[in-house]
Amino acid sequence: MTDAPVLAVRGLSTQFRIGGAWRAATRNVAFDLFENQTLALVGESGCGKSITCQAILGLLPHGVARVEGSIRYRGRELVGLAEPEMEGIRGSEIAMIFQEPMTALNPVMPVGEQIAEAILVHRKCARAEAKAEAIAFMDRVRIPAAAQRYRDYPHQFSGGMRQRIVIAMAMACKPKVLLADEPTTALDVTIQAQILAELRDLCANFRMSMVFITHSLGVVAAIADAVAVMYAGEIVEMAPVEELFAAPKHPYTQALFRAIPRVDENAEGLQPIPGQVPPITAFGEGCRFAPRCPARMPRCTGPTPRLAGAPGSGHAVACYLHHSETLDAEAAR
Amino acid sequence: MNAPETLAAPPRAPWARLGLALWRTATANAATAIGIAAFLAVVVLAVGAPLFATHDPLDQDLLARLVPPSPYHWLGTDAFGRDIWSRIVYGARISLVIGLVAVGIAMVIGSGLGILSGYMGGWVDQAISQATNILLAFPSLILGLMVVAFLGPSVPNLIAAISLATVPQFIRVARAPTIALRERDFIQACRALGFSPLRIMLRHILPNIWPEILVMGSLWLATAIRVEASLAFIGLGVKPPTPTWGGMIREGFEQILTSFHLAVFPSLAILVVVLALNMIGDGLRDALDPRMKESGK
Amino acid sequence: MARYALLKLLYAIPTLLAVLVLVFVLTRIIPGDPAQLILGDQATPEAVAALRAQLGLDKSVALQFLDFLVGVLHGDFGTSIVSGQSVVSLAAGVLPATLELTVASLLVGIVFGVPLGAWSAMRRNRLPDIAVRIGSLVGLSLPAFVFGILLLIVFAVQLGWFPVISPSGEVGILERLRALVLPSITLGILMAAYITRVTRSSMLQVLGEDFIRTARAKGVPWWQVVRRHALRNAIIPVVTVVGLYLGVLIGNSVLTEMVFNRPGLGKLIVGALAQRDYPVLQGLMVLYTLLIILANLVTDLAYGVFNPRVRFA
Repeated sequence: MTDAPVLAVRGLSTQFRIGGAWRAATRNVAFDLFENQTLALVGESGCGKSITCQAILGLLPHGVARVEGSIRYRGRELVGLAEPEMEGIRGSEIAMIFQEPMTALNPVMPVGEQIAEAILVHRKCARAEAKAEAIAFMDRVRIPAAAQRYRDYPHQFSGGMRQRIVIAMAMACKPKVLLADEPTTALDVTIQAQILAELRDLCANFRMSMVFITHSLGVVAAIADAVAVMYAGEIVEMAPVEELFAAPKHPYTQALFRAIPRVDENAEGLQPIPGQVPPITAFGEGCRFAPRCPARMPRCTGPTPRLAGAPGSGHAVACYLHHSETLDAEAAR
Repeated sequence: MNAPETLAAPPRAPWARLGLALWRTATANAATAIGIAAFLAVVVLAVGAPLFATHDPLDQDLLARLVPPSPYHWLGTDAFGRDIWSRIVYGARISLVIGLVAVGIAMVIGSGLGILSGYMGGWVDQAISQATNILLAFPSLILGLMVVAFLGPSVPNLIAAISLATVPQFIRVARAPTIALRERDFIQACRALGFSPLRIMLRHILPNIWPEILVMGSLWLATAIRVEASLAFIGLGVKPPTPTWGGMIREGFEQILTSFHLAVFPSLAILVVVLALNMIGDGLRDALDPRMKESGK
Repeated sequence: MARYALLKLLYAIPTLLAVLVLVFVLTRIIPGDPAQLILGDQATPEAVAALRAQLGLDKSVALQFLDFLVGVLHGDFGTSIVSGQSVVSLAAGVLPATLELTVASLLVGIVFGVPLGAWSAMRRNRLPDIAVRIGSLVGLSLPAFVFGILLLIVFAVQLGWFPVISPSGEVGILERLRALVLPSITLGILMAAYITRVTRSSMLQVLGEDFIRTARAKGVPWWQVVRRHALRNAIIPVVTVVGLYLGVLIGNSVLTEMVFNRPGLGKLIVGALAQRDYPVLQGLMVLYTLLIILANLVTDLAYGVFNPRVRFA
């Protein structure tokens, strides 16, 4: 991975105004996304995965949300970018697909037009041309009889088909980066597998990079090259997918693995994680997982552990259990 | 997703809920506070009309006709030399009595039918809903006009006309939440305990939905007062010389080119009352509507 | 779409029937003898009896209702006992004026209401929003005649920009439009107030929907998201409300016509009231009912046009 990353996120913090005070929803999120790579963001609901994606596209509401840090897309800074320029990037360079196919489409606009619109806002071309291209993309994501269904409305499609339309819409301008926000969570398991295969296929064909949000480690195994585990607004562990599955280091990641039901074990082997994610208003200093952590140490409530790993390993973890070597190295410098 | 949560409030809370809502909106929302104050002021004026009126509202003074506002006649006099301020104060009684009684009757009958319709379902629901839809198709002014035109303008007839026009609104507002409540556990439990339908409807459903009914009441009280004034303006109000706001405007309208204070002051009176009631109703609705609460933050 | 329209038409029939019953019952429960009421206390018994026969009051109630129904079905809404003209011809003479006023007011309502409501929603809780909310509340609290009188005093009496009394008879189109301005604003302001409120709340809801985020995520400029995605959806409940308040509009046109002394159905009603012309009153009630049912029908159809989910249902 000698190339420059397509997307480089550094020190990304998002804050929301709740009851007059600004509360941090995510803190110091950093990752690199390389060409043709799929990075999975994993974590429980409310851990800041979706917020991170929306921050990348500048979709968080102004006045209510505040974004700090740096998001570089092919070297271009996106944080603080003016809205018109951001509009030029959305959809054409970085696209996004959403969790709820039932509500993600405009109910009063024919689906084909919604796809064509994505093409028309980014490219000067004739309506007919956009339409032809939209139909081609509907075909590409395997919507049967695409040409005939161009003028159909979202309510005339099943959930899986709608998600395919959402994907076709996102792909319409052949973006370099796709942000997929739990695109399969709302679907039946069999449909889920089809959609995952579709996305994998598209990524490979268009040399597209993808940030894939999910809370399911099974889906991660199926689609990701690298994984970032998020907890309460922070990335606590990041590693290539094989490495993470082989040797999860952070106590939270380990706990996540123990919470997966397995066929070869009986139910007693299942260990739910005690306690719950603290609310956004209750975040303080220190490791946010500490209150629920089985391996808690006194220093865990001190300064927040930083995400760090052995140099060159590509496996980083934000936990004092694994920090001795990196921190010592830093202290010596 | 939110609607059931509000209904989940314990059945005995509504009094507190409404009070809290009133208080919360009054403190958080200046408009509601102004509305409440203005409406109370009008009620006080109407109740204490003999105290606040400076003249007898029927007393004609042919030497002081069409007098503009002055220290002696605060708002001037009309074509018969009657004091406009005093007539407005007494006219408030007619507006409030007709409005309150008509909406009160409509509220009782309408909520009763609405709860019955929602709770019983089946053909009872079918019949009541159909009738409601038909009446709902009618604007209250036209319905009122029809009834009063044929029955003749008198206080009871006006009340009947406005009630008839308002009943379907209350049926509608009571029926929907009743249907939602019917399926809830505590109502099922009541049924399992063998409570009579009447008891369930009165003691368990009504207390849960009446804040919504009261909100509707304040909004429709505004409409009722407006409709009464409109009918009086058309000439279908309480017979002269009894002072009514709509009637005063009707009389003042004849002098519009020379002395427009005749029509303007009763117009303002109507505006104040109707606006006040709408402000109260709006504020209450926002306070009781869980969706508004959630997204309002 | 045709099936949908036909279905709506069928649904209108029971409503119409019920209203006819209501009108009929109302005219029959007038305290006292209608013939006596019409002719006054001095009338001879013979004259009263003659009028009773003429009005069909000597037949049984059931027969009277049947006569009434058959008459309505044949387009016979009764005959004025004052002028001897049929209600239909009386109404036909003034219907264009009333329709003109209603349509103009509806336009005023939509032209002001939709943009104000949308603007208010997008500036939620800021100054424009608060101003629009207060304005719309005042607008719907003003009885049509109060606002009409205020406009009349300021713009016709004081400033003289518009005629105080609407011209009757044949006048130029420009004169006609000039006379329409104040009445249609009077009546339209009520509609505008309702439409503003509904557009605002509907817009607020739509702006929070997922598909708005989807549209933004594909790079559609904000104003285009508002226009093509948000407004197109937000307008659906507005259509329903417009239909609901078309009746209110028609009702309030009575007041507006009185204030501006415009010819129209409202003036006809008020005249009939003053002359106790009961057949005309009854006929006009039926006519109003037809108008309102028609308005509701048009609304239902418009709803189908704006909402594809209904169109294909």
